[in-house]
Amino acid sequence: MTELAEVREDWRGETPVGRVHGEVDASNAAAVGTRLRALLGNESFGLIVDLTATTYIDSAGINMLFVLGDELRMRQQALRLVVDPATPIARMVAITGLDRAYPAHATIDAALSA
Amino acid sequence: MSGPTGHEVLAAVLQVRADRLRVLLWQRGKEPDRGRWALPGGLLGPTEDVEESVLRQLAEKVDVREVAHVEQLGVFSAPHRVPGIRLVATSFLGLVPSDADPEIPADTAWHPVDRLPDTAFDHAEIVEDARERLRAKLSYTNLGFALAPREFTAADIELLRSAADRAAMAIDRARLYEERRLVEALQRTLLPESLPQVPGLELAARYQPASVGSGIGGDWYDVFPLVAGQVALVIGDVMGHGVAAAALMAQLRTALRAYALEGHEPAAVAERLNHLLVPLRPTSMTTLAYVVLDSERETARMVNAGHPPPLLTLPGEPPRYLEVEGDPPLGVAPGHRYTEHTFNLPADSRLVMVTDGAIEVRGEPLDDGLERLRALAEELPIPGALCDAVTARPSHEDDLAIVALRVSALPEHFRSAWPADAGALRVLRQSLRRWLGKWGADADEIYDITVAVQEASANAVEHAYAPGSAAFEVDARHDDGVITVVVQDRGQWREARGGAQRGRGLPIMESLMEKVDVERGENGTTIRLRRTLKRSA
Repeated sequence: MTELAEVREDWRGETPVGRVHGEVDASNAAAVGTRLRALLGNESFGLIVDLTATTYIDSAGINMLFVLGDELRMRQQALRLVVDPATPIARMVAITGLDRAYPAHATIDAALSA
Repeated sequence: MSGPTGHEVLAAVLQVRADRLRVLLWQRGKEPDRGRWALPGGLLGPTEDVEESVLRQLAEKVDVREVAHVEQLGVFSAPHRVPGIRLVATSFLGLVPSDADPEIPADTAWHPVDRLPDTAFDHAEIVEDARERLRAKLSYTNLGFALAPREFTAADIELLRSAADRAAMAIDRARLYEERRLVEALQRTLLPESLPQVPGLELAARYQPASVGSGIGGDWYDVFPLVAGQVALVIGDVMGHGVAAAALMAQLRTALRAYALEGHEPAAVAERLNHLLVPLRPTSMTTLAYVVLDSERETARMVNAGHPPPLLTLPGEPPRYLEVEGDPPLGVAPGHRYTEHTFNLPADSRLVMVTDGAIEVRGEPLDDGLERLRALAEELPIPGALCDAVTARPSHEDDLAIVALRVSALPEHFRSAWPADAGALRVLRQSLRRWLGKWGADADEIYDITVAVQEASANAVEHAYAPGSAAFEVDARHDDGVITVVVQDRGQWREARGGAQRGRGLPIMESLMEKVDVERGENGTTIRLRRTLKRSA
């Protein structure tokens, strides 16, 4: 179906990048979370979630990212975010404190070299 | 001779697991029927009624908090249904959401209802009853919500409906011997009971069997929401009457919904339906007009496979038929590439789609029928009134279907009621964006207000699992650059699960809006939000 959101894989070496395209709300946050978890391996430091192409996110999606980050931490891995600072998504990430728990970078390259 | 009679209760608990409808059964460890599989249940206790009893008995097999719905099925009282003393059974149907995974004892398992193991006594009959009840109710109630996962999508619900449609056809084929009954059952199952509520759209539709001849035929209509503010409008006509036409109609309707919800563009949907039909070698042709309306962009896209043209009325203009270069009916031109036509559908415009039964009268030129409908549409702008007028004409020799809509003028006051399901949120979001855009809100303001309204709606949506128990209303007003939104959920207030998310909702609203009031009452929660738009600051 035309999913509200789509998660595209983009591997940088051994590091998985999940690029979330579209809108994340209460109807699909769990499914997006499942798709992101499927990218996890043991070889990398963790997972980069790229929200550059995300057009909508509310607390359902933010909450899913907090939970995902907790899970990664338990696996001794890290969650890094890529957020375009000029977008409303960046505001949501800041308002909810997600960027204090998991640093947000402007580009995938910045997130990789962090 | 009369002996003692006992009373037992039995529950057929159904769940969709691993994509199949399954029933909870336990394997009997002792005679009679040792080794066979039985429904959970047991004797009615001296101080309990059947409802209390079934919950108690279920609790022995499964965490009953996981059972989203329980209803009584019927009484089984055949004298020798079980050996020994006579036992009368009251049976129940229970439904468990597909994402629940309740713990069950070692002797208990989920078995596919269409491939039951050896069952004890008359329990297979009870399972069949449960399935039949579920099938019937899926077609006219929102009972499917009790089976759907708690995080579900519109596609999941459609999947359930398609499954029910398929089950309906299989069961009906096996059981109904009378053609009329079969056709009526199909029609009842397949035409939408009610049209979706889409803010900014007035919708009406009717189906009317022919008043002479064999009555019901293969005409159908369908209206359903797609993602992102889009609504699908379908009108089709499988030429012919009776079982063959109605059954083919049923298949096409389900297939069209499936293709559309998979995200295929209108032309691709028509091509796939055509591809599906060609090898079936239908003895007659099928015509179809399929329109996808985008309320945000105020446009519509259409494919027309040999169907009478839709009638479009733009504001301030007389109605005119959307004559487009015709594509052939479905099923007759293998591999045909269908053409998509785009047209504007601004506020206050109207669209009418009919089957030929609404315009053709035997012995009269087709143009007369088209002109009669055009004149009616000009006279009657309200969709419901037009549908009534078209179906009021006596003596139809053919069945007819009509779908009519009007795009509302933009209201100062955005007011709408929503079912409490997460899928409604995206439609609400889309409508709200359009409404806010018209008042000059910029992209950031639209985003902020939309998020705040969604957070405010979360209470109703989080507790959507008891069917029909919850709904919410959104009432947004614009007054001189100030947007105020009141979100009211009428569901019973329950303490939120997943506290963290709930905990984030309020701070988000407070960061995005100037003023947030939350009022929790016995009958629901009311949240008031206010934001002044920059353009007026």
